Amino acid sequence: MFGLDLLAKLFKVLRSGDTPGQIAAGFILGMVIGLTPVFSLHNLIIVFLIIIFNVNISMAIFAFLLFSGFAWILDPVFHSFGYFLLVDITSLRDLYTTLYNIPIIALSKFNNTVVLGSLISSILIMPVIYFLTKNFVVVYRTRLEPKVNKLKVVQSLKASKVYGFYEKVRDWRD
Amino acid sequence: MFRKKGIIGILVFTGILLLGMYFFTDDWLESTIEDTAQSLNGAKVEIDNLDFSIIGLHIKWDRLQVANPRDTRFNRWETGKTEFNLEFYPLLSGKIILENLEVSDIKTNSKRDSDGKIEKFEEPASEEEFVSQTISFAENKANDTPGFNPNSFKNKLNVDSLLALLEIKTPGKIDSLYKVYDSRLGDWQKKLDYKTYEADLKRVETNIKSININNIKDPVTLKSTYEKLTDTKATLEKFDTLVSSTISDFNTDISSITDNVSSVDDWIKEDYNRALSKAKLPDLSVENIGMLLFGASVVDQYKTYLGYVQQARYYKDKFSSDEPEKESPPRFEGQDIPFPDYNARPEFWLKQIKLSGETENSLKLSGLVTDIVSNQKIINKTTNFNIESLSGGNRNLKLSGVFNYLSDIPQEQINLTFTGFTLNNFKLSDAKLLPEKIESGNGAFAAAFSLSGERINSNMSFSASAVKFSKLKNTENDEVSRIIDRVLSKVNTLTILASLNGEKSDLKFSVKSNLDNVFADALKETLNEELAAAKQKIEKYLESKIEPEKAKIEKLVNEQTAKVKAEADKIKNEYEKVMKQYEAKKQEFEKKKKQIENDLGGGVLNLFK
Repeated sequence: MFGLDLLAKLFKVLRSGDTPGQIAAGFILGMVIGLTPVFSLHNLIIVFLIIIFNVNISMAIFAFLLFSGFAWILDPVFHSFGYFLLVDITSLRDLYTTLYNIPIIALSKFNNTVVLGSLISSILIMPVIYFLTKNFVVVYRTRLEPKVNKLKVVQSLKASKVYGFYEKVRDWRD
Repeated sequence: MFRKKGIIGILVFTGILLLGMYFFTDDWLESTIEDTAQSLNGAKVEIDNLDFSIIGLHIKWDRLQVANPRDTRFNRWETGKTEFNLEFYPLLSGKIILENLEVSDIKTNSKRDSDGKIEKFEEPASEEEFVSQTISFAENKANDTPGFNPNSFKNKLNVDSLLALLEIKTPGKIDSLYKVYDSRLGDWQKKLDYKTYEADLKRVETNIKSININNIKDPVTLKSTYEKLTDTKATLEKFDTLVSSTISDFNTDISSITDNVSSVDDWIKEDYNRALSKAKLPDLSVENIGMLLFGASVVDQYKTYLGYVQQARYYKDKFSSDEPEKESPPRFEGQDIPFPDYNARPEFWLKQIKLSGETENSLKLSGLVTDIVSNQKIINKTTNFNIESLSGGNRNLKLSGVFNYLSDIPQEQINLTFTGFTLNNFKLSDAKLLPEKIESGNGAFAAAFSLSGERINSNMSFSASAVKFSKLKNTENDEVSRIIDRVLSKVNTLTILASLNGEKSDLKFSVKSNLDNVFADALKETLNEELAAAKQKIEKYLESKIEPEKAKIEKLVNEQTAKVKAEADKIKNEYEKVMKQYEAKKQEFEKKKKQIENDLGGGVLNLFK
């Protein structure tokens, strides 16, 4: 039921009152938390950003869950990439050394291969994912939504008690 | 753009966090420090009224008690009011740097209101570690020195009950050896049995007899007789070679058997020594008396001082190994790449402790401990301590030391001198040979420990003057105790010297005192006869158990060897007999050959080419 509920939420989000930009921003912020080690200093900052800025929280949670799976698969790649950034690019060593000597930055564990590898990878793909998500929401709302609504799985989902309950709760929240 | 509710939520959350910190940090910090310190100490550590102020990161408490893990009814030490500041910036990197720590009213060995025992305690060092090995070595040496209760000499030494429990190994070993030799000698009997060779010898003998020299009439019969004789000789030589090599092998085997039988005596010695060590008969040589009298007390002192070194080394290793070099880290862990740390700070650094307080004997102390640090290499400073007594009359105490972990080889030095203390009712030793305490006297104690890696040099000395010993208990019917009391009544000084020196594989521990010679002479006078009788009893007991077995195997070896040798002699004799027959026949043949040569001319010799 959790899967159906999540799917319902996703479709709901895609056609909710939030702008495509808010949805895409929530998605990429959730993506960063999902791809990088959860208990990191930068993730605490991202959580604060999600709460403070008017981005779509449901999409952030969805992206976090989705990209946590990718993170598990991509971990060796992040390790290698982080090692390359920290060790092989010798021109950056002075920068790292400076950062390493700033107390608060040292707490971010940036000198860990997986932390840096996954964080830089996330930042690099953020603009691409942002525009892809934003465009997808626009396309979904204009062209795909009527087709999706006709799908049997969506209709059965909407007819389910869980979805009815969700709608009520959502209405209270709004 | 901003989510109002979100901002308010975060502000509320932060507020709750700060409130929680305000109300609960003191308790949390107190229990955290207590738990951490307990795991280091091995017994309870209790802090009273800890107060943490986030402004200036100031910490203070009213009292800190550190229970003694060896006797949890007492505190190892306790402090009165203590205050210190934490450095702020290192905290952002997860490092704890404590500025000047001022500790007043330090008391040692104070009595606790509650038992300071804790359930779980992680031993700070492994069995393989040098310091614990050194302590164990000294402990074993002291324990292995046979101690005894002089009261036990009122009755005879109870050797009988010991012998009943003693497992004598020699008879079992002899029995196994007996079976092996029985089988081996049986094999030799078969190999050197005359009947085995009799048929061959008889055949050769018959062959020789069948040769009739008178039948030789012409060169043809001469040649055939010659060939028969040659074959016979070859057969006899082959026989001789076979028999000689078999007898030679037998002789070699017998000499090895005889040698092995003589090792039975070594087994008997081993059994005897085992019996002696079980009986723990005191060795009254001068070298052992010091260990016997004061060994256990000296080891207790070593345990205390080396215990501090052991803990220091344990935490040095624990904190200095925080730079992992992982090539293939587990998922989500990654690999930490270290960079030069310009403002390198250790994980933990207590820069300075100013101590003041007093001992259980009301001796005022003051001292300074500097640089207790998780990694000395980072600050390039050793941990030093220097504690001295203040005005204490004639009493004077000085404790100083250096724990140096700057190089790869750990080095520690501890020096302690304590002079001018009184010995009224001073507990001397647990040894049954000594009175429980010294009634009066003046004492001085000095100890110096120097450890470098797996090498230790240490000396301890205790001297007492104007000593008056209390009397031994139960002396009315006990000759030994009476002698000891008599000896001690004439002694008014006491000097104990202990040393523990050497490397891990070659440690030497000795304890000597000025009582050693006095005691050795007095005890020998009384106990030597008793000891000799006990040793003789053990010897006789072993003899009664082992001698029959030994005689049995000796009898087997002697009898069987004699039998085999007799058979071998018989074979040799029979061989000699046949050989003589052959020689006789050969001589007859030569005569006949000469005769035919004369008759037929020298050409006949060509037949033998």
